[in-house]
Amino acid sequence: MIRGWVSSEFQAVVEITLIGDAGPHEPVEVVLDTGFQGYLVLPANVIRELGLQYPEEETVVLADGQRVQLSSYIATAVWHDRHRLVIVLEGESTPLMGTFSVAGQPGYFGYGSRGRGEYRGAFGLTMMGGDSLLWK
Amino acid sequence: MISGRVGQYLQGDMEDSMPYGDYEPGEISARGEAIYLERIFPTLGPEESGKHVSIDIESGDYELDVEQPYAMLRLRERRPEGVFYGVRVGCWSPDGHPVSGFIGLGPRVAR
Repeated sequence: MIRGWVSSEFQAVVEITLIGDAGPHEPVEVVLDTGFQGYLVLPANVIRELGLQYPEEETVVLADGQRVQLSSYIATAVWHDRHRLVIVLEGESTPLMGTFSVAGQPGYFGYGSRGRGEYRGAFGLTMMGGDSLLWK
Repeated sequence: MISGRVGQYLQGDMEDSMPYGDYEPGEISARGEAIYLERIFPTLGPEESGKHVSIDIESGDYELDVEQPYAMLRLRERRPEGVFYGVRVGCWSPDGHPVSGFIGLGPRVAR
């Protein structure tokens, strides 16, 4: 089970550890965004620290319909204590985790909170490991 | 249209690692989109919907896979110096351009 938390802004947050050409990076907090059809969005400084190379350019559509060009990179994520390949899009938004990160892994997530304010409610992802082709 | 990191390279932000420095902002996506629409999309059947296409805009070579990292890795193996552009089959922007995905729940179109 991957444990996270619900932020004071009611966002589901988890920490994810990534490995790039420069080696493992310290865990990064990412917000689960079920409207994001992709893997991860991370800022440029994290991508530089990971030492990711050879970008592919992509065009994505934002919620307001605007088309935006972003660079995408391949990285390795530590996920359920295993390594899997992920795509990291470079963007200066809040770091995001999209639905491709959890695709192919049957399970459920629990989302509990006791109200607004400083309290950090519990958030957990329970998945069965699945048969994703991306496990290394 | 907003340019991403490739645009930053061109602005001299990261001159030491300018893999695509020969291209003007927006040129990679324009060429990639043209290759996809003219040469690749007409050959695809409905069974390819949802797959990722990585395109080397210099050679026109491409790879298709349900998992994007594998499309990119296979093409990079063949085209180590290539300049890549990626789209997802069946994914279109509201104004009719092929795109790779959506960030946030905005308007969608079917085609």
